[in-house]
Amino acid sequence: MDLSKVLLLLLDFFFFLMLLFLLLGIGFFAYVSFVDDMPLFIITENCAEDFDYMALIRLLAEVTSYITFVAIVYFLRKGVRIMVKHHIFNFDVAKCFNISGLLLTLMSITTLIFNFSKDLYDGLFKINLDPFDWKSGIFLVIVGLFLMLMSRVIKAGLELKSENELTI
Amino acid sequence: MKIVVNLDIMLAKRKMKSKDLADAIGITTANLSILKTGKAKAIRFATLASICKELDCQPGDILEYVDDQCF
Repeated sequence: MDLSKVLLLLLDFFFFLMLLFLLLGIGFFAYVSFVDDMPLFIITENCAEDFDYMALIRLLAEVTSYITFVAIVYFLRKGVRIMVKHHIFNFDVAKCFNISGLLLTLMSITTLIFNFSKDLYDGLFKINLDPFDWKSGIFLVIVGLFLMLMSRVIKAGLELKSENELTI
Repeated sequence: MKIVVNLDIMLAKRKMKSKDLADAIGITTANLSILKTGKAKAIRFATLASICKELDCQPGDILEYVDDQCF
C-alpha cells in the first residue's frame, strides 16, 4: 500500500471539506451582513456574546486562522501530490513543506499569544501548555517545525542525489 | 579553491577522441563530457585510474588545483 497515496486522499478530502465550509461561511456572513437585518452574535465555545469590538477581533482572528489552515492544507496537499507524481526528492516538495510548516508554526504561535491575551482580557490568567491538547498550539508548533525540518532533509537529500549523479 | 580538469588537453596530446576514451574506460560520452566541462562533483579512483592507464599519464596531468583568487 502506497502511504503517500493514502495521505493524498485524506488531504484531498480534508481540503475540499474545509473549502466547502469556508464558502458556506462566506455565504452566511454575506447573507447576515447584506440581506438580513438580524442582530449579530458571536457564538463562542460556551455561549453567545454581544457583538462588540473584542468579539469582532476574535471573529476576525478565527476567520484568519481558518483561512491560514486552508492554505497550510493546500500546500501540504500540493507537496504530497508532487511526491506521488514524481519523487520525494524534488525541490517543489521541499518548498511546499517549508511553506506549510512555516505557516503552521506562525499560526500556532499567533494563536498561543492571542489566546493568552484573550484570557487576560477576560480576567483569567492561565497558560495551557498541555502538549496533548492540540488546541493549545504547542502540538501544532511541533508539527510545523517538523515539516520545516522535513523540507531541510529533502533539500539535503537533493544535494546528495546531485553529487551522486555527478560522480564519474 | 577549484579543481580544473585538463582532460581535453591530455586527449589532444595523445590525439585521442572523447568517444574512444569513453569506450575504453567504460563510461558514457555524456559522463565524459560532464568530466571535461568541469561539471562533475567527484571522480572515482577507479575511473581516474582507468583514464590514467588509457592516456598513459599521472592524475596530476589531468587534475590541477587553481586558487579562486586567480579567477
